[in-house]
Amino acid sequence: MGGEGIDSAKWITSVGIDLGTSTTKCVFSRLKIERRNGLSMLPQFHITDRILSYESPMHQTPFRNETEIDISALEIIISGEYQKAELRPSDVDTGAVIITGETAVKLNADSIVHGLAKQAGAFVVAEAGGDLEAILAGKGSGAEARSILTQGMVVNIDIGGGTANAAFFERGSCKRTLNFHIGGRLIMLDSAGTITKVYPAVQDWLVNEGFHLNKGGVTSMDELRKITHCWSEMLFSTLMNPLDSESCPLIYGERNGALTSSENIAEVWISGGVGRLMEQASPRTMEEAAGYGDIGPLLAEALKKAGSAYPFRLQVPPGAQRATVIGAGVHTTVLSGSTVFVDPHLLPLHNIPVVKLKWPAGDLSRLAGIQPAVEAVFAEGIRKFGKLGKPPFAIVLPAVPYYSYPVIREIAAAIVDVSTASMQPENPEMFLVIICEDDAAKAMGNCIHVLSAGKLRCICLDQISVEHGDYIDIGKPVAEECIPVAIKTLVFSALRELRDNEREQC
Amino acid sequence: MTLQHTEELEQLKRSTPARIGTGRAGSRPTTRELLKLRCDHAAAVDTVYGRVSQALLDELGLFSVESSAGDKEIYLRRPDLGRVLPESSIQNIRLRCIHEPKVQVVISDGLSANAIEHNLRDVYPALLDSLQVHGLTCGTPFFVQNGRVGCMNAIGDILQPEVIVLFIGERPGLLTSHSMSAYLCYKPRSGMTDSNRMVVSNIHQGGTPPVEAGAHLGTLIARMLKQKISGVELLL
Amino acid sequence: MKLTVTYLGESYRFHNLKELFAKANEEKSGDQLAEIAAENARERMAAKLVLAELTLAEIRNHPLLPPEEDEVTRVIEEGIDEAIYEKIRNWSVGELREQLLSQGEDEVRSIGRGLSSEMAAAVTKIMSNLDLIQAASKCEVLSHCNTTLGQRGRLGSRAQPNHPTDDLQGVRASIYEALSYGMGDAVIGINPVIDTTDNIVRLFHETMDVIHKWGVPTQNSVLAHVTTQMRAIRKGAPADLIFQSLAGTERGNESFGVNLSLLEEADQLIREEGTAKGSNRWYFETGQGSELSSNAHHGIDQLTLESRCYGLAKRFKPFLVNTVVGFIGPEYLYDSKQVIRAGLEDHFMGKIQGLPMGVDVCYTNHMKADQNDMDNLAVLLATAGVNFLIGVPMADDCMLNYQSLSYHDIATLRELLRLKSGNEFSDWAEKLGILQNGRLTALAGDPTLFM
Repeated sequence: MGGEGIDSAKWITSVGIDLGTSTTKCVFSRLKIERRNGLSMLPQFHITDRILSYESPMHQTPFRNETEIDISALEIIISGEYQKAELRPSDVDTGAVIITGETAVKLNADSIVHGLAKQAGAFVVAEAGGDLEAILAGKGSGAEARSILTQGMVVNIDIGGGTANAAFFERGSCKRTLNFHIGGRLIMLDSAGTITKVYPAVQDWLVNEGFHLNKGGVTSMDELRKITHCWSEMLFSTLMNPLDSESCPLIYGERNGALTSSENIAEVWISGGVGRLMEQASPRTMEEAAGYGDIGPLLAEALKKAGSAYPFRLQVPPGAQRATVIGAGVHTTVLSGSTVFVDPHLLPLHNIPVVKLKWPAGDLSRLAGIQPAVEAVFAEGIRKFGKLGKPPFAIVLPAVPYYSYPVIREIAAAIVDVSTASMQPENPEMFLVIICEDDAAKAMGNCIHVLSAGKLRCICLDQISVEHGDYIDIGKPVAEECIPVAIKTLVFSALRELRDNEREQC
Repeated sequence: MTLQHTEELEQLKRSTPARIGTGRAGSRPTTRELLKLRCDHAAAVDTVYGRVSQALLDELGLFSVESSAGDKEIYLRRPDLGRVLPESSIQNIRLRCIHEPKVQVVISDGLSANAIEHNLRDVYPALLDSLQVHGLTCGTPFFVQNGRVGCMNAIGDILQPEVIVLFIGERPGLLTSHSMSAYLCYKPRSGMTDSNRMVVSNIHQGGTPPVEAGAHLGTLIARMLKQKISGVELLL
Repeated sequence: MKLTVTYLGESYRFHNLKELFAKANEEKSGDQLAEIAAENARERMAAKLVLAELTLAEIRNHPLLPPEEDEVTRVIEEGIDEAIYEKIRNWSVGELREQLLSQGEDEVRSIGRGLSSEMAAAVTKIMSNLDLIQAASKCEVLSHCNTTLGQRGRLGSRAQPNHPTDDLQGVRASIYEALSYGMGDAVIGINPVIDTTDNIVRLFHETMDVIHKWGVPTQNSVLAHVTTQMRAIRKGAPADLIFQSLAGTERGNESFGVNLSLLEEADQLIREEGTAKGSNRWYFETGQGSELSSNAHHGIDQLTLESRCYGLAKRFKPFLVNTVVGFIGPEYLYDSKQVIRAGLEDHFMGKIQGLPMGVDVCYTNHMKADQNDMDNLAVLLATAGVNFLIGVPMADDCMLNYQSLSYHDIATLRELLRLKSGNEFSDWAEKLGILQNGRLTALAGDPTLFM
């Protein structure tokens, strides 16, 4: 038995910044990193505790105009929060800046989010996109954890100003996401019912449904109740009948994950600003309804009413409005397996895109087809992300039934062959990033090192689940060979394709 | 009667390798479960009395010596004899091995020959890679029939290695009968005990992955050589 | 003191009590490994003949391990009821055997209080298996924690929900399994893999959560090293019982990392900070052979050393004492015959010294024993009135890699011998519909009941 020797836990600091359509907030948390297995096993570190240490107040997201975020105002807000939390950017080990909802399509969002990441700390991820937002909110609200205990799915819908992002959790993992142009701020009005703004995302739908709302026009409680009722019904019925989602006009983005018609949804949680409003009494007058200058309170009321007719339990999690930022600040970081092959001098690394190898069909232990599969993934990476070397991309080796030594050696040999052919290993700037889904990184890294006579430098991590199209940040080791990794899923899916295409043209 | 198959039951069963939710016949186990238990036990018992094949030893270039235990029955009753070597084995080792190597690798069947048959081909070359990465050289590897962990001391006295690695078959369990351990010791000599040693256990497909275990051992050895110590005092 | 005998035309001479005690034992591979066992069957019988004639005073006056050398001896000496001892000091060991077999229950328990651990060991050596069952069955030993254990007609069980990585969900699933068979009334006790304070805290909480959620009338225990438990308890972990493995010599305990003063410190802590209601708050485990395995046996046989563990345990008025009889391996107990004998010996020696004895009826895969042998020993012990037995799902402990009894087995023993689980627990299980008149109902055996 181990005794005190392995009791030493380490703590790291994580930040989360949520830049939303209406509000901006930030949280700091402490993540406890602990060795959880006995000394006679391979070391295995886990994040065993995540403690929220500071929560900022809600700030209005500053805009310079309708299409641009006010960068300097934003920087002042963020640096003020760092001061209040008594932290410097250099104290922060990990975390995420997430740009959510309608804000994500602002013209300068991409550059802001990356700029902010630099300002907030050396190792902070920038990310955005409805699907990621849905997942983070579901983690932050506690829906993910709840789904471990429930029979059936727990769906968390984060409803903010511009979007509703639903994440479907089953037994602690997210099965799929759905994103809707449904939000409390898509229609804005004053206390007299005069429309001050209608966002383009819902303009067409309103017209098609016969609602004629124009800036300057006056609307009624009745009309707004009809609209919010339609939205609520659309939301819930699409959840219950996922096959309908193809025809739902307010869905946007990619439809992630397999749709099946036999899902059993046990609970629906509503987080986000609209979730919080559901805990308040229904508005009785237009003045009350328009208390925030938008239709948020009416949408909240409609959701409550519509939801009661469905077989799932509808509820609002505590701290609903902060679910996403908590998700970003507390739940973004994962740890690599703890037997890895790294040269700490090469870390940290930011924004590494991922390409995933496809194993040949058949029994891998016969070694057939490994070399071509490795060649193919290198070719794909180079085609999409440019030259090999100082890596613009990481190669993921999907899980295999069993890594015998001959299989490891065959893969390592192919990697050495292909890379020597396509890079200049004598260049000290050059190295590879390999990610094994199985616990095999150290053996793989050793073998690559031996076969290339030490000429091919590489970072080999394992036991992280990443998909084709993800971007990752790899931090410096926190303990022994314990490497924090932040996975950025689906950064601006539309923009990404654009970027990919640009790269291909280079 | 077998329990009704439900999602809840599956969820519980997934969370543990324990034999839960197996149903019953009156208060007794079902036939299937009773026989399964006996089958797994039979496999484990046979493992204890198995032998490592000459083919494997030849393939990895290992010569073979015996401990003082002689046969398996004596071996089981007399752990002390498995820790020492007869004069013939000592002479053989002295004659055939490089003396004072940096790292000495020894393999023994212990309580499971199966463990060596299943895992050595994967763990051993992965260890050699790892040693090479750390710039460490190996002595002459060999096999000890009916060895116990304590035979590391006897071999240490003969060859005076800086570090010894002993791969040895573990007492078989019902989940697997081919689990192996790797014991490490810095400057093994007479009188050393478990507190001077490190162990990586449960090495098998489905447990500690053999190739990764081999790779990790190289790192541990490098650390032991740097700190000139092994066992509970080694800083990880 | 007469240490010679002539038997079958041959004369035997034993040099001292240590040698005599060792040679009077039934055959055990552990005594052979220590090179103290009888040479052959005749020498064994000669030793038994000599031992039967010795008086209890002669045994007490010739300590195998002098009190000035060993704190366990001192604890045993202090534990003897001098008034009772004075009445029986001139009994021979043979006479003691007959008294134990012929007297009533109250008298037998009273005699037990006047015995030292060595006297209890001596009489055990000349008793047959059925003697051991008969004499033990007269000793009803009650103990009180959150519940009361040991009444006649009751057979308790420990639920042992071990998991190879201490995964909390897996542990919980295994607890549900036990409860669904009406098991876990003695204790829900988990052997952790990872002996860190934080992990032990987690496991205390997890076991206690289930107990609270379902209102289970039982107690929890996490069988880490006592110092780790103490750190966990000081950090606020809810612990009904505190656990430690014991050896029969001071040096043996040293190898377990404990001594008398540490045990006393732990005792005080669990009295002050423990979560249980009752006054018995220790859970001890023992097993023949552990002293030899740490080379702390002083040339004394393993049965006598085991008895000395009980003399030490007695000082702390434990709630549970469990002999893990077949765990140690064939070099100490070679085959099923030796394991069965040791199980009966340990149970009797513990009971006569006033301990709430349970047994882990178990074997490892390199011993010459199988599940049928465990069936046999379990029936013998249940007949002898054992306070509790260890249960694991389908007898297979997936963490410690050995086999014990299945929950099915304990349920079967209860049905066969008309025994019930502990009082309060039994009521709870009947109310939940798992048991009816002490028997499994149609609902029983389904762990999803507790999800």
